[in-house]
Amino acid sequence: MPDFVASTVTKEFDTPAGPLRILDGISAELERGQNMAIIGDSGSGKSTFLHIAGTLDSPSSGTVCLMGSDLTELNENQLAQFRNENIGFIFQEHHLLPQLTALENVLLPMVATNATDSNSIQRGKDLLDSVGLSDRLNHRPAALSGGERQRVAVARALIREPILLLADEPTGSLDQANAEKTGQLLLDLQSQHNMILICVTHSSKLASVFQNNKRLVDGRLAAV
Amino acid sequence: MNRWQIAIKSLFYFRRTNLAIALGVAAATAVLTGALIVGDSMRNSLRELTLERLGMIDELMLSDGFFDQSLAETLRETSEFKESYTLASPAILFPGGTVQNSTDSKLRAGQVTVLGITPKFWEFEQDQKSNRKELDENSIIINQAVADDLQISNAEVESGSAKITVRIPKRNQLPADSALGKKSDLIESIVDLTVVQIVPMTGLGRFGLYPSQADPYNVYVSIQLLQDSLARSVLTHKSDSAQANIILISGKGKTLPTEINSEKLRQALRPSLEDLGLSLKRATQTFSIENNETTIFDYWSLSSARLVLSDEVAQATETAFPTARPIFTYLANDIRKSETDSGIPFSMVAAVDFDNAFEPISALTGNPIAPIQANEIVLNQWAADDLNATKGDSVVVTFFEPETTHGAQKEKSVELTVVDIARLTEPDKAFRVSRRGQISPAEFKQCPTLANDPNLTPEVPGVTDAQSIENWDLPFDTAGKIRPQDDDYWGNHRTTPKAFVSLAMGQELWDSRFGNVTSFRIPISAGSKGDVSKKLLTQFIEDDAKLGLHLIQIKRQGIDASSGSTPFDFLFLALSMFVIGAALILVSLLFRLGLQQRSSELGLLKAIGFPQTQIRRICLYEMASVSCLGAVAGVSLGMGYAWLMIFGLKTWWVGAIARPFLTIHISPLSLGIGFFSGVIICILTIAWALRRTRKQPVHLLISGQLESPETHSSKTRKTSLAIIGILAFTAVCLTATATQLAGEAQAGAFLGAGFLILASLLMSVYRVFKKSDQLHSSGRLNLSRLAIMSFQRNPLRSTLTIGLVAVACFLIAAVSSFRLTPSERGTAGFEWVAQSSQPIHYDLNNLEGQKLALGSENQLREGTEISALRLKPGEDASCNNLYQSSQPRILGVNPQFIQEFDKGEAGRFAWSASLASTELEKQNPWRLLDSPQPHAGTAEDPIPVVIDKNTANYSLKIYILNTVKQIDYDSGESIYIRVVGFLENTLLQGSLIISEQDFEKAFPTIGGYQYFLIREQATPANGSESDIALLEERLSDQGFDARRADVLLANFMSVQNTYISTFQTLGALGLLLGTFGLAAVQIRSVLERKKELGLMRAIGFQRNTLAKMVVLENAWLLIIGLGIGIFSALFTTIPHWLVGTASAPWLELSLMFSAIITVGLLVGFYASRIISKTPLLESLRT
Repeated sequence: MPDFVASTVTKEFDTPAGPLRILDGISAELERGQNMAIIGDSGSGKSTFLHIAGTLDSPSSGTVCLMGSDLTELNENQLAQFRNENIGFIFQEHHLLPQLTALENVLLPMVATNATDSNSIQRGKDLLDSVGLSDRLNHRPAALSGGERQRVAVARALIREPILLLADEPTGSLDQANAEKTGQLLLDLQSQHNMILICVTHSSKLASVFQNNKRLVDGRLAAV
Repeated sequence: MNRWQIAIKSLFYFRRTNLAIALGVAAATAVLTGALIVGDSMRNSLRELTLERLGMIDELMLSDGFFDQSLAETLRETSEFKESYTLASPAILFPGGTVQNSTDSKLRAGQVTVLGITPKFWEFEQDQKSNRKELDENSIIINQAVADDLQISNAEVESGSAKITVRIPKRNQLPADSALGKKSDLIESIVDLTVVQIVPMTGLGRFGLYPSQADPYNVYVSIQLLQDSLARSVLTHKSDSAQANIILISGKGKTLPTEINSEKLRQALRPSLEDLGLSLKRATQTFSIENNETTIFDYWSLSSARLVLSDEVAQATETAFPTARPIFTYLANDIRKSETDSGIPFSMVAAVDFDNAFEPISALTGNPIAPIQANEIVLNQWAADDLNATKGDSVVVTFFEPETTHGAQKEKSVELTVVDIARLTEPDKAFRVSRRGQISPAEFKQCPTLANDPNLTPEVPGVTDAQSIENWDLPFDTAGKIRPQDDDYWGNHRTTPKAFVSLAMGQELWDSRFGNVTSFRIPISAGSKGDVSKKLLTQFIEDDAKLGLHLIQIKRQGIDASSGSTPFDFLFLALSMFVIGAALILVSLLFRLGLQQRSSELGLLKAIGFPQTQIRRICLYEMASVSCLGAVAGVSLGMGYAWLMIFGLKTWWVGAIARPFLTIHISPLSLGIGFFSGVIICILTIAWALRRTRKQPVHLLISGQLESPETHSSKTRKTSLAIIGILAFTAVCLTATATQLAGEAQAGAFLGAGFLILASLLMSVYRVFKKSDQLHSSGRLNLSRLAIMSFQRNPLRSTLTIGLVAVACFLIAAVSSFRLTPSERGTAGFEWVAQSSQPIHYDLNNLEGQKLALGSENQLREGTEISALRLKPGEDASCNNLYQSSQPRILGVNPQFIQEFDKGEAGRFAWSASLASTELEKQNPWRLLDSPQPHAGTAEDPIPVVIDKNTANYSLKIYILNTVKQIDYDSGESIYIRVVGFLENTLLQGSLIISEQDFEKAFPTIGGYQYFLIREQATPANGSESDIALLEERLSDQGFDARRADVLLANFMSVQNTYISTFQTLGALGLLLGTFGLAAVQIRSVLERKKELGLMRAIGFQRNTLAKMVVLENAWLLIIGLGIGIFSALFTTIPHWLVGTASAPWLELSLMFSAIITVGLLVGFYASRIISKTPLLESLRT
């Protein structure tokens, strides 16, 4: 069985005008070391699919399995633990905690399981070093540029060595130069850590460097 | 890094928001702490008053009568005293004296405590530096309260020109209500005492037996002065000058003597029989002939100074001496043969059973007379000869009934059959009475008989020591009825009974509430006087007989009473609940606004694997820290809030506490409780606000949506409409029901209806806000509509804000329904309430009684009606007394008072509830006090009592009918009462009301009437004196003082009305805080909508226009809230005003609400200024 399997995932929303189907039976399979980019028009449901894949939202029907675990069967606490150990997120708006330093933001997922020790601190420093921010360890987000913040977010996503890395418009808020750097960084790290990377993006240019390219149209994934 | 570190970093990073939340916490904590401090201050202030008024006096020994003052010395010598006590000093205390300015007789004061003291009295002062003048037989010290009433100044005192007359009750041994008790001339006047000092209302200047914050009226004279006064009214040959009726006792050290110490001291008390008002004398008659002495009789005679022995003494004597025989001797006005015109006046008749313990008296034949049966009489020889009566004749014995009513004696007669004649020896030499009243016995040449025994009659001052019958000092006239032979008999035989009946017969005829035994004959074989005394005293202790000497822990009682009738901390918490509520809502709103801004942070934490519990924990750690910081500030502010409340109680709201005696007391415990309470309730508020985010999907949290918009299906809409309809319908039904109710029930029903209307209106508002989601835009938009639409975005938050304003507004206005105004149902048509310091025994409703009481030339107008009530002095249990009451005053109502309300033509009192079951009782619940026989006042047979509801609830902690409660008085009585009715807001507050019959049984020694309810016939406009003025003038010696009934009632009501005013003021403060909160919410909301407002700027809206929109948003919320609140309040108050007794201070309320609208708008305007300062266009670029 592939490491990541999304099987006929459907998502509907209730509206005053009746149920609105955003995802209409999406299926996808990926192994470790593989990556996929999903592109589509605004409002097509790309982020919705990513949220479902990352258990940030639940499907109306269908299943999502990672390393054999059916994520739709887990309860809230189990999901939180699973996400902490196996899934890393990178958001368009980075969502760094403004009151923590760069290093503390990277270490934040370890706090969830009381796992901050000297090893994890060193790992955090190494990750920041690997994204070129070794001299920004004690800077708060307000003191970092947009690109630097996003790199901190990338390092945070990797601190637990997740199997699945999900990136939602990771370069959407960046200028072109930073967007390219960040995109390449993602792919390098994904390859380095043998993760599955699914990335949602508007950018055809970014999508073009991914192994798999899919377009989300009318609630379904189609090859580009 | 750990969760605490995240929390602390967040605390400092978001310090602005957290500061605002902390201020909200500070406000809530300040009010909580402040209320606790007010409660502490009240309790401690009352405690201080207690400690002040008692000085170092810890215990008091009180007596019903008088005892030898050397008892204090004897007490001091006991080991029990030396172990735990230091000072003991005798004194005389008269609680019901009157004083009058000798220069201006119109200046007088009643209810004055007259203290006869030794110089040692002032050693009981806490402040030993105070300098007190010495007292002699012509001087007096008064306290400032007396000085103010009598208008005596320090200058007059220093010049020696201040003189006052003091009036105290004469020492009457015999109860005034008994047949032989005097009804008039009961007051001793001590005239023209020179005032040598005015003591301030501090320390022992405030001395009093009962705890009250009201100023007592005290005067202090030397104990010798009062002792001389007392000596004038006892048996002349027994003139004991060194008498006292209290002993003041001080414990060692600062701690109070324990109950064990006190009990030991009580056991160590060794009063003599004389101290208990008892007399044990040897009755001996011997006869010597030719050096042979024969004893005719020799026994111990135990009698009472009050004529009859109490049941407890009788029982104890019978237990200690089973062979002792009771005797009941009574005065017969007349004994004559049936159907004759003349008889023997004023004869003693002894009811006694002859048995082996004492030899029976001998008949003329020399044979012993057989035991007398019912309806039989034995005449002595003298009486039989005088009446020419023989065995078998029928005689009529006429006597006064043993108890008088309104001072009127009633004669009664009984026909008895003469069964024998008792031999009586005439003495050779008659009795001799010295000028001092010393009586030398008669001398016999013939052997006297057992019937020659004057000791069968107890000593009565003014009677048994009188020279002749015509000198008898009795409340009825004996002159003109005495024949020469009667005086001869008196000279030869004095009090020797002229007739004998059986004990049972005598007790049946002459039994009264005072007792039914006048003496006991104890065989001489029982031992010496000392032995017999000791045995009796021991028996009294074993029986725990309440014989008039009571040791009371007065200071401990006072301190216990200081806990107060009203828990002021809870009261102020309740009164301040809006301020607390407003602060908590503010905390919640600000927290949620802050959380709104940090919702993506919550979402992120969830996304990276933090379980919900951990996220909540991090938030709570942060908020707990904020709460602690806020609570620390709040505790400090709380002290200021408490100071302000106390200032208010001493000034604007002084009506609630009668006197501005409060001082602030801050205890670390209250500060701690306030701190922790503030922290806990704020954390709970925040935890509640946090739980709403629990179910929000992570991705929505990340995108900044803290809560999902609620779906409003058609089913939900229909359900909400149905609920609104039910609420409104119920409100209308409740209003209709309320018109049929009265008093507080009516007020409560109207209030409930108002609340239901309020709830339905709020639900309607919420429904409208929700429905606006589905409305198709008509395209018509203006600034006002935009303002409304913006706060419709968050229907729940907006409705909560409107709800806070509406509920506060409603309660502030609607609680006016509970304002009390004096009405006829409160006074039952009585115009005056009067009280006298000394009892009045005559019936003031008839001409005879008026002449006796007011003087023969005075009478009241026809139409003036006086209801006289018995009075058992006690604590004022009305809302004017802040101390917890445990010995409330009791009033006794006679059958005429009860029956007056059957028809209620003159008026009726308002009842809150009663146990009325029959038609007559429902018509007149006073009938519940009626019964054919008096109640025993025991747990099995409690005395039915009527109480004013406020007195019952607040002072006595009685809440339901049929409650049985035991009341123990320091004067020794212990009774059980059962509540049969609650009066509502009447002038009878502060007292328990029982039937006169039960009163006489429970308190047999209290005679006469001291409480009067008066309906006065209108005074003609010709300058003549009103009836009230006449009563006050003629009964001034008795301290008769009248007050207008409506004024008295208004005074009682002012306490509750003051609390309502306080509630309204604090409620307004809460509303004001809510208004500021509203502004804070507005400011946050503006910051939240920066981009939106930026867009509006971008498309051409001017800053001023946007500012106006924000002002309008704020104004709409305020106006809708106020509108709903005021409308609901009007729904409550207008019907209540029309059909009930509600009144509302419309002007004050209008001003209050106008002020709130003004402040609210100003605050909103301030919030709108944010618009002008915030770079709105720039927010579009980020």
